[in-house]
Formats: sequence, C-alpha cells, structure tokens
Amino acid sequence: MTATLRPDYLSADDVQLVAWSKGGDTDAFEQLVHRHRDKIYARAMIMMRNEDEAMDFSQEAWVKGWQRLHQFQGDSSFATWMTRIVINVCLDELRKKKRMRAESIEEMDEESGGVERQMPVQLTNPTEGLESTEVRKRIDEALGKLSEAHRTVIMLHEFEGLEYKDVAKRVGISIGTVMSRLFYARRRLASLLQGLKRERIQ
Amino acid sequence: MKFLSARKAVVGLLLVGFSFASAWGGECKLRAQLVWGTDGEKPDGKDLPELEAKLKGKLSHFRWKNYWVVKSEDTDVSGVEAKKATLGKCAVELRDTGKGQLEVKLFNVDKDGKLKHLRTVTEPMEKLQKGGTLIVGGDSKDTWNDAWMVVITVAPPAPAR
Amino acid sequence: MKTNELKLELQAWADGQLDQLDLTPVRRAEIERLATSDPAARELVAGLRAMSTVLKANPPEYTVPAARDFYWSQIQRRIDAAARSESRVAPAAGGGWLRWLLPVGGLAAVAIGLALVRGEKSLGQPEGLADVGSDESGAVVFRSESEGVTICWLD
Repeated sequence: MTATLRPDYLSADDVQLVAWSKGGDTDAFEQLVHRHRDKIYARAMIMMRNEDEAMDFSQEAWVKGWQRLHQFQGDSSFATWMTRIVINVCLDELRKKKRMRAESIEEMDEESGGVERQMPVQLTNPTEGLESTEVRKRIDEALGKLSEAHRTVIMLHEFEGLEYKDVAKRVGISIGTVMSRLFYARRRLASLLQGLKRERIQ
Repeated sequence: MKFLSARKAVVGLLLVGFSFASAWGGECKLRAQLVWGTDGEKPDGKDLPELEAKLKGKLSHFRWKNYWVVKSEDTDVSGVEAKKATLGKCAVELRDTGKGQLEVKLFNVDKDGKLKHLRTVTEPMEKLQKGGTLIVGGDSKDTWNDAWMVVITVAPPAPAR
Repeated sequence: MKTNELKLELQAWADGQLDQLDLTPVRRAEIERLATSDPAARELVAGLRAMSTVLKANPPEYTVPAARDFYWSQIQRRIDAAARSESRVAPAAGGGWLRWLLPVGGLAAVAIGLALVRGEKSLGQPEGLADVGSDESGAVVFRSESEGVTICWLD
C-alpha cells in the first residue's frame, strides 16, 4: 500500500496554502495562521491597545478569513487581505463601544489645530540614532497616546497604504476629516517622539 | 458632510388617507419631513431649520444633539390613489390598504430620477390620526454617526384666514 | 485662503493624494508651486514626509502571547461553533434585544439606559419602547404606545 504523502505545509507558499485551505484543508489554514498570526495580532493591538481584546479580535478575524476564503482572489497578498479583515473587526468593535463618538469633542479640539499646529515642523528624524526595535517601541508608545480615531487613520494610511478616499470609506468619514486627523496625528507623533528622544538622551 | 449622498438611502413613503379623509371632512393631509440627525452643525453650511421641539421630543430615544429639517412636504392623501411627495432626493408614496393600515413604501431616488423600492412598512392609521408619529430611518452610509429619518405625522391645520 | 486648508492641501500634495481633492486647476497649480518653491511650505512638506517615512518603515510589532497549538485550538473552536450556528434557525425577533448592540450607529445611539454586557441578554426592555422585531430584510421596528411613536430602522 502506498502511504499517503502529507503535504509539505512548511515549504508551501501562501498561494498553495490558500488553495489547499479552500479545499477544506484546515492544516493548511493553520500553517497560514502560524505564519501571519503575529502581524494580524499586532494590527489588533495597535488599534485596541488591549491584549485580551487583541487576542479576541485577531482570532475572530481568522475565523472570518476561513469563512470568506472563497472571496480571496489573490488581488493582494494573503497577509494584506487578512490585515484588512482584522482592521474591520476592530473598527466594528470600536463603533459598538462608541469610543470614537465619545472622543468626538476632544477630536474636534485636536482637529482645530491644538498646540501642535503652531509648533515648528521637525525636520530631523526623531528616531535617528535609535535601533530598529527601539524605534518601533517608541512609535508604539506614541501611537498609544493618540486617540483611537487618529490612530486609526495612521494605521490605515501609513501602515496599510490606503489612499485618502479608501480610508474615508472604511472609517465612514469625509476625506476632509481624514486629512485633518492625519495632519494632527503626524504632528502629534513627531512631537511625542521628539520628547521621548530627549528623555532617552537625558 | 456628505448628507446628500446619504439621502439616496431615504425613503419613499406611501401616504394614504381615506379613513382620515372621512374623519376630516374630505381632506386629509399628512406631513413628511426628511430630517438629518447629527452631533455636528448643519450639513454643508446649508440654512436648514431645526426640527420643531415637539417632534424632537419624539426622537428622545436617540442621542443626537441636532435634528435639521432637510425638506418638508404636506400632502393631501384623501382618495384611494397613492400620493407622491418629493423630499429632495426622496420620494414618498402612501396607500390605504383598506384594512385600517397605512402602507408606506420606501424608495431610493437615483441620480436619473428613477425610483428604487427599498422596503414597505405599515402603520395603523388610527395611531397617526391620534397624534402618533412614524419614523423610518437609517444610518448615514457616508458620515460617521449621522443618520437620516423621514418623520410622518398628520399635518397641522392651516391657519384660519 | 485659510491657513489650515492650505496645510492640508500641502499634506495631500506630499502624500500624492492631491487628485482626490476637488480642486480647480488654478488652485492645484498654486499648491504645487508653493510646495516646491515656498520655503515654509517646503519645510512643512519635508516634515510631514519625514514622519510618514518613519512610520511606514517601523510599524509596531507584537508577538501573540500564546503557544501555537493553543492559539489555533481557540480559532478552530470558533470556526466549529460558527459552522454549527449557521445550521440553526435564526433567533426569534422577540428575543432580540442584542439588536441594540448591532453595529448600527442609529440603534446604538438610542438611549436605552441599560447596562448591556457583550454576549449576554439584556436585563429588560426600556420602559415604553418595545422591540416588535425585525423582518427578513433586517430592519428593526420599535414602538412606544405611550408616546405614540413607531420607529423603523433600516440596515
């Protein structure tokens, strides 16, 4: 009797694993989960800033990914497709909790300019001299100081590479609001990173 | 604020007033108002009136700060024919089912002016006649946390001349 | 010309997103001229681009705080549960107070005054406003007899 060969999940690329998964192969899907779980979890952590919620929503995203595999046509990478799903899961949760709405008054103050609008632009790289892991850590700390609304536009535009109109559509806001939130968030992050840098030197 | 595009999702109501007509001496007017619910200011800087306080009280279950009336139209619905009222980019049609029910048909009006039926709701006519309010609405698809509503009531009587 | 508007337009230019704004050709040309020749505008653009570059190159990284098998077992359990629930009949509208938690801004904005815990049934219906259920299209209907109000909220 010829033994049935187990597919080589480890060396298979994402395209092959997705194809097997579409055929109902949960082991192949598990390999995809293992391969991309940290990135998906990271997206959820950036948005929710809570480990339990990030675990919960990243898992929910994987479930949706499994259920919607037939929709994945390879227009983007599988990882990109999954990050879109987890971001949508998080956005839905934030809407449910109405956190964005509760922050709307604060945001309006921020979007009118606040202190940062008056600050001189920093031309120097605020992360110069820092190692990569330190840079990411500093950026993450700074992101944690933004409101969820501002963090979301940074996530979608800077990390996911979405255009303004796509960010607007995803979040349900106008392009003008995307622009003002992005402007404020960038300036705020720059000032935070500058502050953190000075703290480190001292 | 792109409330205009959200109005695409606004309702077409069917107005019917036969039994109203008999109670009101032949004429039965219903008022349909397209209302925008928001915590922000008037959309697109337009000069829209606020929803009257009495009706705003009917919306107390919602938590928006502001309710702007985008369009208001009174329609005489006496008779058996469906009457159409235009609320900007929405169309309103009402029909009496003959069973004490007001049938309200909701339409989406596209850019070419074509009506696309969204759904149908019914309301006991007696409720409206006794001062009740029918509200059909939905979340804005374009603007976070805003919503559109079509508020149907009996139109107030015309002032005596 | 409002200063704030100009800064946002310069940002759009820096991001290559100017075509997403509804600008006249004259205005667009002015933005491009400023972005390339005005010292203050160039400084702003450079600063925004620097920040964007740093962010794009350094997205925060996290590691799932769970062993591989455990993480997957939780996902698989959810997949199996979802598959089982799909085969069940949809819950009756009368028991649907969880509709209040639907990701629908209008419904979520209704001041129900209850402490609803995610995943659990509500403690009871708000006084006066009854959920009379939904139809197959997903719209939810509420009615308050005392107030004489009927609300039909569409998906």
